[in-house]
Amino acid sequence: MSKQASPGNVAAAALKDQSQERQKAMIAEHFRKLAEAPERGEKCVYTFVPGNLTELIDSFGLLPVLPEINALQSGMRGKSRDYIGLAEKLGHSEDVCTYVKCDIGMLKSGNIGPTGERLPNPDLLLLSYTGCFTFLKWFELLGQEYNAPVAMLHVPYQGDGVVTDSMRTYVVDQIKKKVIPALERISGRAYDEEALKERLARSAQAEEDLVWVLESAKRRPSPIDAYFGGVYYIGPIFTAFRGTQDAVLYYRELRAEIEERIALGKGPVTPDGEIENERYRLVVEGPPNWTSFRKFWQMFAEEGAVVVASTYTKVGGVYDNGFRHDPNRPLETLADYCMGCYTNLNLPTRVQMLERYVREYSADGFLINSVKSCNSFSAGQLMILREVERRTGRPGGFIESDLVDPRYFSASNIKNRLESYFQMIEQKRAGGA
Amino acid sequence: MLREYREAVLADEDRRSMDQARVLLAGSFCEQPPLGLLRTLERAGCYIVDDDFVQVHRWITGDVRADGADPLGDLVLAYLKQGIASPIRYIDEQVKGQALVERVERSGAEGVIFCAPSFCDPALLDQPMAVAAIERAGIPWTSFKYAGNTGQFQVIREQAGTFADSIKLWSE
Repeated sequence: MSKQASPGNVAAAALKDQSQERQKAMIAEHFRKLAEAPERGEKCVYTFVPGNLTELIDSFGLLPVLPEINALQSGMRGKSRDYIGLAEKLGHSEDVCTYVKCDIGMLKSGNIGPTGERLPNPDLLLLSYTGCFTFLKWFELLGQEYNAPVAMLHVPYQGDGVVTDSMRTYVVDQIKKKVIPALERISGRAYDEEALKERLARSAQAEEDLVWVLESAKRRPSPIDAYFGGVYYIGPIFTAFRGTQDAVLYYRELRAEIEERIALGKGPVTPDGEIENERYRLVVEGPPNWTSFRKFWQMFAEEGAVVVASTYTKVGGVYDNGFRHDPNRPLETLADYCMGCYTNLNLPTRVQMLERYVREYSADGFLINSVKSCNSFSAGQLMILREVERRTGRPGGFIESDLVDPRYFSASNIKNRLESYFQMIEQKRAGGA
Repeated sequence: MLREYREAVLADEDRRSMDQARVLLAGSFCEQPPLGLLRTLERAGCYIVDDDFVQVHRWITGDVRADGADPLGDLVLAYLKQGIASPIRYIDEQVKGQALVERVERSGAEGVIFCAPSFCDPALLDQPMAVAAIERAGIPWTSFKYAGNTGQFQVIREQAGTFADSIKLWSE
């Protein structure tokens, strides 16, 4: 990890931490299990990252599949263009979520997952609806494609910015009456609350270390990048591994790595080396682009721009507000988790969160990556930009790209905008603002 | 007012039925779509014999129970059980697109025009499933999008005109 981040070496092998290697092995093992599931007679549940009930699914011995993760992996591996093209040819509009089209295209191309192995068909589509309307339509589409049953968990939006007892009861009732019976049916096992509690306790352990890692970015220099690096850090806990011993070990190892970086006074690791001169500290709102992920990160790293906090790393759970899964209230805690995901928060709460990040992480500015095909994120972003600027006095920036559609990633436009934005921060500094 | 309008239409001997294609317009319109769009479709040779405009006023089909002991509960049940099959509703037990096929049959439409606003995710995401149902039923269809704040419907006119012609000239 001694290489300095530098331009022009995109093709070089990416530098990786030990924890990243561990995560890679965990993912490979999970996809191997999925590929072997049909012949081993194991069942799988397709579900979404926000509001995933991984501990519950795992307590029934079922394997989770997360279509968004498959789509972003397809984007990173250069497959999404063809998948999206195929879906559009089949009648899916060019204006809708590209995750959906990438997933449909992958399905129509043989459903080969990111590790090159075939993904099993779903035995159940667990539709946990947490603020993103597209999820409903996505699983209606998959329900037709696979002729698979759907169990819907309707999670009330935090329209007033709070979770009430009646909202919690509403979700818990659905978990008891809809979700658990569906999981019992496909697994052939009875609900085992003790098994669930064990997993929730492990979740809380991992969450503690994750939050410590994310909050390490309050230091100067920040030892992590909480957006580009952050998407790796959230990987296990947002996907198939929350509640597993593997996740506990991953976050323990990650934390030790960051502690070491802090002791050595080091900045974040990027695929092209370390950032040794932290020039700009940013808070970022919105998902990243996956098709040119490394190039995108490089545009920041070359300028010494470090993302110290981001909202995207909260879509699968907001833990830095103190929430931890509580094994003593197993179903209630799952309900609270679902309702607390970033996508389920109203705009005033999002603004408050961003304002807090800008202040607590001593950010120089606030940047939005507006995703062309994600209305769930994009709606309200200009209001958020103006409001966070007004409250913090820090300059806001706005760039546009897409999740997995490479046609909407214009490197030169984004680079120009970023350079202008960094100049704006410099001018603010020079003016003493 | 509608009755008076109907009588006025029937009394007007100058009005003659034109040889237009009877179409159902499906766009999951929350509101009234631009009148220019509707005029364009009519000028292109279509009679819009059914539509899904202003869905909020059509949400509950049938009467809400008025003599129950739990009026709020009855309203909720009407919302849940008597709601239209709109793309913005999650369809659980019904067959996707079946309600649309039934409306085509009821209205005597000869084809379906899917015409969603370009920003409307629910309508656009729903469309492939609705199209599949329409195709299974052997009903002709076409699709395009419109942008609500523009009055540029020339392309739509050409496409709708071709669709209407194909129905009138080539349908069995």
